[in-house]
Amino acid sequence: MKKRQLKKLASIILACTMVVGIAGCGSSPSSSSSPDSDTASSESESAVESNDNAETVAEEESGASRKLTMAIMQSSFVENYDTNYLTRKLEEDMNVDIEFDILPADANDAKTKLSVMANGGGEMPDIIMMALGGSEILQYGQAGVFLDLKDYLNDSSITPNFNAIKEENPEDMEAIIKAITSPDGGIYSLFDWRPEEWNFTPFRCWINKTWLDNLGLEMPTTTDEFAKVMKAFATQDPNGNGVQDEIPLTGSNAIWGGYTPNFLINSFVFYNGGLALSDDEKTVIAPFVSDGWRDALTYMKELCDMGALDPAMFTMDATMCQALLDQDTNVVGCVCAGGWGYWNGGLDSPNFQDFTLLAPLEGPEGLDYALYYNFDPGRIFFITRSCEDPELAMAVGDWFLKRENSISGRYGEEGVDWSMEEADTSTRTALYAAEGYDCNLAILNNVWGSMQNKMWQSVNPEYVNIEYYRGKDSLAVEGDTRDADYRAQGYALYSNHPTLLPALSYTEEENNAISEIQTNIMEYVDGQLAEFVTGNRSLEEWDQYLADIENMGLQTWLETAQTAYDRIK
Amino acid sequence: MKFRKYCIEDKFFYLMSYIIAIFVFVAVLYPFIYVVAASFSSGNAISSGKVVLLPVEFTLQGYEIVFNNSAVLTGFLNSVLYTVSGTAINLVMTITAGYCLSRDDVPGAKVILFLFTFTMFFGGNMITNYMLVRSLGFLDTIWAVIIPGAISAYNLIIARTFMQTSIPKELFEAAVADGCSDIKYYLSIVLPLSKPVMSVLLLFSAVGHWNSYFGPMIYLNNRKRFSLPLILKEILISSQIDPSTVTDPELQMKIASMAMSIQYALIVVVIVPIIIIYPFIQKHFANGIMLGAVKG
Repeated sequence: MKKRQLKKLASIILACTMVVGIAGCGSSPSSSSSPDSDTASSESESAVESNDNAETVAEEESGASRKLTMAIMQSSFVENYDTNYLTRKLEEDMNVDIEFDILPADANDAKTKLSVMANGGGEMPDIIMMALGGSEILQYGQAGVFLDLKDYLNDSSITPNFNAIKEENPEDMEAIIKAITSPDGGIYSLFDWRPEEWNFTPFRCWINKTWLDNLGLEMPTTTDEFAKVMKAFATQDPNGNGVQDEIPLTGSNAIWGGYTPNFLINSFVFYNGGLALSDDEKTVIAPFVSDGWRDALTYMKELCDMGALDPAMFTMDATMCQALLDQDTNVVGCVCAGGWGYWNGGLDSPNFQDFTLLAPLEGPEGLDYALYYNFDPGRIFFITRSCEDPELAMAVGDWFLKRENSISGRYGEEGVDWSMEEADTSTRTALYAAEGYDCNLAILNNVWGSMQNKMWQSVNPEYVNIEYYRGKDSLAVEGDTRDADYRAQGYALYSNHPTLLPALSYTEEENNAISEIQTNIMEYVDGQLAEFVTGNRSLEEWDQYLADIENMGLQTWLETAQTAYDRIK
Repeated sequence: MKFRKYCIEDKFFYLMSYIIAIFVFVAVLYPFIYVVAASFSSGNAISSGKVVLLPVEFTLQGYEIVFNNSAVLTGFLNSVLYTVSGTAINLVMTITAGYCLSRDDVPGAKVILFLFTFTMFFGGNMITNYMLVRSLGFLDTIWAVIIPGAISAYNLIIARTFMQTSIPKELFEAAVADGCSDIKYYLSIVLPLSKPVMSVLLLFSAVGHWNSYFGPMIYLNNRKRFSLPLILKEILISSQIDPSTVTDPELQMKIASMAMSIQYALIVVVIVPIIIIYPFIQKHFANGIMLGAVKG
């Protein structure tokens, strides 16, 4: 008996050693394929044989160059973060050694990973380089995961570039401070300030000029004229192929600036996707329960009834909408889209040649607003509780705010990819030349949108004054100024808007109270808009609609928003 | 014709079965055909929805970019490494444990088995797992990817049931009577007889490791160690624009059009290795699962 048990024991032990043996085999390729570059600096990489060695090397070097770990949300278009131009410039200027931890490119995954890191205890990277929302920042800030940067930001010896903005552009600074201050008064993040007017008014409407000419119609300026034009498009065969295949008015919620109702609604009441401000700029109001909204719905329903407004716009995805725009014979009369990228071939697309920008239409009450978004800087760059040298980390963050570095973060290497030298800029045309701007930023080589090793694809703090956008090189090919022309035209046509409700930041309690209400109401409003316009729901049920929204907690939302607005007013 | 011998009801039944089966087959196959066709089409043709069954505006550009992308290559090699080593560990652990638990003369086998099955229903959450992996010093190493799932209780039960039912106890007694040791019995009799179940487990864990995304995503930090699914997700993400979270959609649009042309090529690159392996294991596959199921 005893002998058998001994045998069993022996067999178990043997089995165990076997497992360890095989597992050991598996390990050898891993250590050779990944030479632990994370612990070694790039120069000493080749000399490093094992982990132990790497640590001693790093320790020896820490005297010469200080070390920081940075978790960055990656982009697949960055070739190598360690040898990147921006990394090398940063390391040289600040005498630091940056070691990268990579966060997933998917924002939700990156947030999950961050929360696991933060809640799992233990060491975190010194710096987190990804964009986060206000409530997440507040949560991490109050939990002590992110450090409050206020004192560092007030100390101009640590953050010279940040404090320089205050001197040069106090208005920008005021907006920045408002945007990055959490409701508890802490500042846990830096920001990327990159205002570009083209992006404030994405709901641009393109109308088929060829069709207007074919039918001998004038460019519509009011909602009534527009309805007449749409009726003509629907019935008079403007593309002249004898078949009634025209789709006078379409769009898609899935493309940037493509939701056509947003363009039309602003002829009746100002709406940019949420709450708005009253005329006296004191009260927060909800445009989607106003009479103007009701009139807009009535108007759109008329368009739908006469066969002009394509009901498919409420369900189409981007691919379907693009397929519609790219038909061999142009069938689209009017469409909303942020840019010409949705036509196959962009500016050179044969179908796109038919289109021209339509100015916001004047509604019956004389309103002709453009849907205008606030410029809301992203909040990026956080210093974590594990950082042993927050002053250094802060100085690194501040480094990005220097104009040249901010521009490098977007356009690549100074002198090679872009230049602010007189010699280069004087020969180029500014994007907003039509508005009287001179070129102040020449783009010598466009690195965005292709594999590159020059920058981090704009995942970094940034401060670029809007002057550098308006004065940016229009990248005009010899004699081709179409891009700049459209931008100038867009700027001229789409600038009328009332005072905007600034981006509100809520406390955690407030956020908990309204986040669900907010989602529910906006979903309901969007869904019902389609129902009303397509006639599935009669406008006689408008009162019921108002009551439904009221029941969903609109009052709570408005009151909370009012409190948050009063706080920053 | 063989069909004749069935009565009318049966004929109808078979006919309907075939129709449904063909329908399901097409529904499952079509996305794959579409991906392959799209991978050879130009980005513009894909985005304007012209690709249906065959490539439109034939181009190899997608594959060119994918194979010139160094991240894809390292990701591929890493995935192979994780899959091979992870599967080896899975197999050794699972088969050995399965064998031990299949013997009814192991003291406490029931308790051990219960502990294993317990993990099928109750497990630590993400954060406790992370803390464990961190404390073991596995963070950002290959171990974090291959050790935490070394034994899956489900696979263990398949292995155990197989050995219990299809390897007769008498075989052990006969072997012992001939002077065979436990180890020798395990190595030269049990293992060769367990080939069907081993091939099933091999495929299960190889596919699992190959497609594994969440573990590597959480535990790996250095891009040099990233596996292919992480790289794939990265590229898929850049082809989508969410205007509400992006400060500069115009810039994103430029990236998206480029990503559009390479994502399908990359998906094909990811799928192909599994498709290549599958036929070699397939013949054991149905066999192996059934054995566990019917007799267990």
